[in-house]
Amino acid sequence: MDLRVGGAWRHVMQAPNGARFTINSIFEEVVAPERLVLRTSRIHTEIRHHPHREEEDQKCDFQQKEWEAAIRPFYDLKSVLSTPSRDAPPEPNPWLSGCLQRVRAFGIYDQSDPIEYAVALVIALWRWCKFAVESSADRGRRVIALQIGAELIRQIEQKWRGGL
Amino acid sequence: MPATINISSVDRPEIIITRLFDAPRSLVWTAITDPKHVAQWYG
Repeated sequence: MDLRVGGAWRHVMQAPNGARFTINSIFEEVVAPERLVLRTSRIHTEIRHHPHREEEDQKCDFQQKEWEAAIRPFYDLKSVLSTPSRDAPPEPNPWLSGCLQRVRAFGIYDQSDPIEYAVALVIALWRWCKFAVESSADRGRRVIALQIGAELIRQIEQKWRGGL
Repeated sequence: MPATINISSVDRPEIIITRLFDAPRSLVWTAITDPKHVAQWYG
């Protein structure tokens, strides 16, 4: 483990049956004690062989294929490990984030709940504005308007977090 | 130690796993960066 930007980390995991999985990563950001970013540069599997135990070998071989198939989508995977301090902003209100997620993802909201309805209205308005802004030909103004919109939404979310 | 898994669809697939440890940050940092402790951290 070479803990510096650009440094390499070779991580070997060993299964109870002796199969060994090697994960090679490169550190992209090293900011002690709060942020560690690493990118999986190349993954390969090594299998420790048991010459006299064919059955075990076959099992390992199957696991190797399985592992390789499972891990393929994660080539070039970027992992961010962060340790925010206890003074960091509180976790989002689960009710509010659930509500926002539903409204954003599917346009669904519970009309009998006035607050959820209000959130839905705000987001619908934001979407409409975003559409209007995106249709504008002036790129500079478009970017500024989108930034203002995003900031407004951020502030609304922050204000409601923990307060409900 | 509450743990939450939040899978949200963004430009690239992204999985956010949050876990709260009742420990100083420097200790957690050592656990994930010191090869002596990494083996234990990953179990």
